[in-house]
Amino acid sequence: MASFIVVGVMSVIALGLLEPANIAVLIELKKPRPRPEVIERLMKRFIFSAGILGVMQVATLVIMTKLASS
Amino acid sequence: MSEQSYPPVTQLAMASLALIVAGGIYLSSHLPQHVPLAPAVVLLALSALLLAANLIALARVRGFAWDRFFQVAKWSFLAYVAIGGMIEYVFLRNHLSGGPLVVLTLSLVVFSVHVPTLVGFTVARYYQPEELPAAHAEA
Repeated sequence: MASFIVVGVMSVIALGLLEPANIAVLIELKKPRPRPEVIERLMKRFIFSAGILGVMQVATLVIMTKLASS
Repeated sequence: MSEQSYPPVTQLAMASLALIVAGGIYLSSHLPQHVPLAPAVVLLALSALLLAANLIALARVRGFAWDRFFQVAKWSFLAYVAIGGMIEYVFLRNHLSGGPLVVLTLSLVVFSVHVPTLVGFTVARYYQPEELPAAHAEA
């Protein structure tokens, strides 16, 4: 059950927040005059998402360790 | 930066994706044994409802950069159709049939529409109409 939750959270955050923010930053950077405030706002979202994904990866390690040792 | 108010497209899309993922996990955790379809159908219906609400809310936004939206969303959609097609192929290859196949296929359809919508929205919301004239003036 825990692994299902981890997979669900990771996929929703990656597809719903991380990927759109990534593409939006790339498109903003392609403009002749990129606006730093837009990139800043999108990167904040990026950092929060990456942080949550990092926690989920640690959770994956914990689950794998539990499975291997049980 | 322009602070035009937008409907909660990202939040609704994430809720919709969460429902789809929950339904997919529920079904795939029971397969290949018999699986009661009702919970998955309810999750799919709720997700589709959120998708419809999201599209309607977005369509009602005045002055939205639809050109920019479609410019990004169409390529994203193409990528997600390819991804969805590969996942569908895996379902068929694993001899999935009947109700679970229908529910998972419809889930893939919602997934393949909602993610490109979200990508297009995230890009288009930061579009400023004066960008092009400024760029031309500079050139």
